[in-house]
Parts: sequence; structure tokens; C-alpha cells
Amino acid sequence: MKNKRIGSVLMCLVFWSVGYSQEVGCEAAKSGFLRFDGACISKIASNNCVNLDITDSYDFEGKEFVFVWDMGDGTTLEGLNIDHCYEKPGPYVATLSLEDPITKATIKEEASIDIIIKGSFELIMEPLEDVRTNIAESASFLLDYPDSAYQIKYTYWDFGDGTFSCEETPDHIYERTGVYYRSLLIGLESDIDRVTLCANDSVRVKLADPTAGMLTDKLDLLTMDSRYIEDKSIYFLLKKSSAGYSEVEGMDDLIGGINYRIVAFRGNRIYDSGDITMPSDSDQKSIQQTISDKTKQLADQEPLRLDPLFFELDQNELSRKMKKSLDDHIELLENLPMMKVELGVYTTSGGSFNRGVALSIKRAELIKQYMVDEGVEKERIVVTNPNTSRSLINSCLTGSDCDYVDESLNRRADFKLKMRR
Amino acid sequence: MRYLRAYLVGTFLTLFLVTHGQRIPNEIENIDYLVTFGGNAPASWGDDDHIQIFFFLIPNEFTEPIYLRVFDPDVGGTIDEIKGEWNSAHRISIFGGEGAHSHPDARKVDPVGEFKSGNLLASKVFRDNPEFDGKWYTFGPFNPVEGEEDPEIPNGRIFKVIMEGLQGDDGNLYQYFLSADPDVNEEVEGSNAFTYEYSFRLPVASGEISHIYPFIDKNVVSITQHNFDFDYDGELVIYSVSKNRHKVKKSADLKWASSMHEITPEEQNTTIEIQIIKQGKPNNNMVFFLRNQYEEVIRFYSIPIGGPPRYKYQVNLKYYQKDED
Repeated sequence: MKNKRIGSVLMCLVFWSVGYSQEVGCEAAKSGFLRFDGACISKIASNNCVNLDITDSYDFEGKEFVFVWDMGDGTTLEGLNIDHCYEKPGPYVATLSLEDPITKATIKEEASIDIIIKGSFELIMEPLEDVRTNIAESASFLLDYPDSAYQIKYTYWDFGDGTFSCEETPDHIYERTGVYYRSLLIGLESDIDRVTLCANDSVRVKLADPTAGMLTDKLDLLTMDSRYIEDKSIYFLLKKSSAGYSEVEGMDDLIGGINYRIVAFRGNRIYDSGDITMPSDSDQKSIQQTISDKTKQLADQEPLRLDPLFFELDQNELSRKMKKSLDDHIELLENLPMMKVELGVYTTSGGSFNRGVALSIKRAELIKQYMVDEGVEKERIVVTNPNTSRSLINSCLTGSDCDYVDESLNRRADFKLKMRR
Repeated sequence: MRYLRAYLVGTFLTLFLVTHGQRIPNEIENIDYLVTFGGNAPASWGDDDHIQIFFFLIPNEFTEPIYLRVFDPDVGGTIDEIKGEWNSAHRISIFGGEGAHSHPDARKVDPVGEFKSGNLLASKVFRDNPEFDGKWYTFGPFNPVEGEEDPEIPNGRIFKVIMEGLQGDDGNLYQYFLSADPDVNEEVEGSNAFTYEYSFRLPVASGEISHIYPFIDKNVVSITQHNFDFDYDGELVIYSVSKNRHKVKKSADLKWASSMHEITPEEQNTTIEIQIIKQGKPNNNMVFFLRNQYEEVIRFYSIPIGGPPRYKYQVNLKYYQKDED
């Protein structure tokens, strides 16, 4: 078995792929794809074991022969009903012989049966992240298969936007934003068998940042608290209508006479351009230029932030200082109606876990209620489950003896910015 | 009905037998020698009647002279079985013409009545003759048309060969070869041989398996096997397309044993196989014959019609994963 990363495909496969992707081969793969009506199976477990049962052929009226199976891989087993697991995939021939324990007679090749051990297969499409319009992305997959016996005969990609490819690692460009459902069909063949694997995923395509990631690069370079490190920097170009803000889906959405807004955020940090009004006679090029200029201005500034709140030990009410900080958060959210906030509340690692969870819930309720009372829509505040998200920001573990500073950092409420859908 | 059966047999003969050599006993039977004891030998030595009758079937298409060659026809030397001193005389007689096979007495298990029916074509008595010991003796030439045309076995002519133990008590071990050449064994293409009662020397080594091949026609619904003087020397089983070594009753020293076995539809019009699985007793000779439900004797063919049977195993194959409970 071989775990093959197709992204670094061998030259021979490249040659094959090029040849195969031409004319008949790709057309055949495409028609096969369009006809494919089976369940999309991305994983086939190895049925590497067999049970051979000849009980129904036991017909000796009392004569006790010894049944000996040569399993074809060097293993011999005795019995009317035997089990065997093969180490390697491939075709085998199991052959039955009989031995008479009294006369020592051996009768060879009484029966034989073909056994095909396929091995295991697994196809995984490598997910595409932060896909942007008009930027080529390389589609690739991981394929685990018994490469000693099987060869890839065809690869067929359906990108979900009406385009297809028979290359193994095609580059593809989405022209419009949206969610696309990709499908991948791979056909493998051995001398005696054919296997078809299929995988699906969805790709969210966002509008390309006209500054090629100026804001997101800046956010990526920020020194973030550890709890935000995993958060991706995300860029949005929004257009404003009577229904609110919506994402610009493609360059042909850029027209004059409406307001646009640039938002780029990561964790608790956010760049926000505010509304950018485009004159009605603006053409696409001038709008792009305006957006680019505004982005550069933003990049010269520090992003806005939602700072965490820190609690004293066993504190279960909001202090004046906390409320002051929350007021700032509320004001910021009022200016960002397209955003919501994810609220995570944590306690120290010491003491009872359940008590810590209960305290977290209580503090989260206090914060959420305060924000709602001050005008933030309830559905814009999402509280993470403290049972499963009791994130600590240092090496303190439940029951460990941590110093006061570390534990103070853990007694906190975090805010993460998210785009409202 | 009898003619239909015969036609089927004839067809099989034509289809399947053209490529096999015609040594009797045949190599695929794993029997080295036929055996016939002198007329004074006790039956306990493995021969119940001191006579062995074989029939040779020559296809109509074969028109060249034929020869019956006999290996080690004398009764003496290293191959035969001595009892005291060499004192035996055996006669080999070849018959053709009307009645050679079709006469009812010719097809009986026991050599009684007119079993020497037909025209005597050749005969010779052998004793302890060193010049024939371990050598081939040739009878013939015979014109194939001298054989009998028996409608029961169409498309050929039948010759009958009788080996008689006239006197003495020694065992004569021998082979036949129906030959197209007087000096070397040259197969008569398409020929076969059969007998109604088989007397032969078993292999010595334990674990050796001998095979004899009766043909079961489409009207047979049961058979009764009879074996003599097996001495419990291993196992006797029936093997066929639908019998995976049915155990049959086996005989003790100087005894006959018999057992009845049903015939399945799959076995009709096929050759079945009697497997004799040897346990190792030296110099063991035995006699075997079969009857059908009408008490008719069933022919053992030297070359199995349609080839040796093959039991159809039902092998149930199931695949599963290693970690499956």
C-alpha cells in the first residue's frame, strides 16, 4: 500500500495524464462521470480475510479425511471451515487437498477457488482554503491504494461551475464568488479488477482582494494572543443595499452609485473602511482603484480590537471597568452590523471542573445580557460551550498548581469576530 | 432402450478415448497388473474364480490388423506370485465373431455356461516359461472385422480375451496391450477395453490410490458393489460428480462384501470412480464388480468414458475485514 500525494506526481504519471487528458480518454472519463449513478464511495476497506466453507460438501459417510487448504500465499490450513487473512492484495488461488490419516494417502487439487484481495482504497480531496475569484488554485487529492496491483486509469474533476478536467492536478480559476460543489471521480484498474472512487467537497469562493492581501498580510503579521493564532485572516469587500451588506460576488458587481465597505479581520482584530461611496458614473476600473487606495490607507492604521475581559477569582458580576470595556465593544459592533461576535468565557484550571464550567456559564450570561440590554441583537452574540471549549492560554491544566498571573489570564472572556451570513 | 444406451456409450467412446494409451490395466488406474491364479489356488489368495475376461472394442474406423500383446504371460520369474513351487498353467484365449460379447453367459460375473462364446481366434497355454518372463507376447494379427458387432455397443467390433488359470496355485500377474503393431505397443486409436469383473493386484505402498471406472448409464438408479478379499487393506470409496468419496463396505480375507448406493441424476450417463486407498498390505489382490438395480452387471472401462469424474465441491467464499467480529 502506498499513500500517494498526487500533488507531487511522478513524471510518468504526468506523461500519462497529459496523454490521457486528450480527446478520447477524457471524453470517455467525462461520459463515465455523467453516467456514474452509484453511491459516491471514497473509502473501501480492505476485505483481506476470507472464510472458506465446504461443509456442504462433506459427504464421506463417516470417513474422516483431513482437508488441507493451500491458500496460495504459502499458508496451509486444515478444516472444513477455515479463515485466513492475506497480508498483501492480489489474486490468489486456494487449492484443496485431502489427506487420509490412516493410509496417509494425499489427494491433491480436489478443488480450487479464485480469491481476489483488493486491499484498501481511500480518496481524499485536499480542501481548498481562502479561494478567491480569478486566482488559480491547484486541485489535488490524496489517494491510498494498492499501487502494486492497481493503476490509475482516469481522473475526472467536476469543479461545480460547469467546468471539468481530466488532469490529475488541474489548476482551476473560479470567476465568481459563491459555494461550489466539487466532485472527483477516479478509476483504477488491475489485471482483474476495476475500482471507482468518488469524493465530494464544497469550496467557498470569495472575491479576490484587489490589493492582493495587503490587509490580511498585515493581520497575519500581528502578534496575537495564543488563543487567536489559529484564526485565519479574512478579507471581504461588501456592497450596501437596502437589505444591508452583502458580499461582492464578481468584478461585474462593481458599479457606481452604491456604497462599498472593506472589512478584514482575524480573531478579535478588524480593519473596517466604513462606507465608501462611489459616484454613479464610476466605472469598474475607478472603483477598483478607489478600493485599492482605501485599503492602503487602512493598512497604515492599527486594526480595531475587542479586548478580553479578565475576572477576579470567583467573580460572578460585571465590574464597572468591565462594563466600560463592554461599552466600547458594543459601540464597535454597532458600527459593524455585518459582524457578529463569538463569546468564550473561561475560568482558572484549579478547583472543580464542573464548578468552573458553571461559573463560565454565569459570566457569559452576564456579558451577553449586558450587551443585549445595551442594544446588541441577541443573535449576534454566540456563546461557546465552556464544557468543550474551556481553552486555557497557558500550560495550566486542571488540578495543577499554577501561579496567579497565569490563572488570571485564564479567568477571562474572549471575543472573536465573525461575518454574519 | 438398450440400443439408446449403447449409442450413448459409443458416442462417448468416439469423443473421449482417442488419445489414451491402451494398456490394461491403464496407467490412470494406478494398477500395475491383472491377476489370475492357477485353478487349484484357494480363493483366499484374491481370485474367486481363476478366470479373467476382458473385452476389447475396436472402432469401425480402424481397419488395419490388430494384435493383442500380453506382458509377462508366463507363470514364473520375478513378477508373478509364487506359491511353493512354480506349478501353474494358464491359458489365454481370444474370441471374436457372433456371441463373443452378446452371448448372455459372456457378460456374467461368474464364468459359467457358454462364457467362451464366439469364434476362437487364438489360444496359448503358458507355464513357467522363462522366455516369456517379463516380456511381451503377441497374438495376431487379427482383422478387426473378426470381432463381434454387438448393437449394445455400436460403432465398433468386440474381441474377448479370457485368461484361465488351468492348474497349479501360483498367481499370474500380467498386462494387455491392444496394439496396431506386432513388435511394439502402438495404440489402436479410439479403442477401449472393459470387463464385468475386475481382478487385479493392488499397489503395495500405503497411501497409494487405485481407480477403476464403471460407466453409469441413464437408467441406473442404484448400484450394488461387490468386492472380494480386500483384507480391510485401506478404504474403498465411490467418487463421482455428486459423491465425495462415499464409503463402501469392504471385504475381509476370503470374503465378499457388498453395499448398495443410490445413483443421483447427475451421475447418470457419467463415469463414476471406485477409489481404492491402500494401507500397505503386500501382495494384495482383489476382485470387484457392480450390479445395477436390475441385477445387470456394470462395465468397468479401462479408459473412463468422458474422463475421470470430478466432484463438484460447493465452496462458500466470504470476504471480510480483519477486525470484523
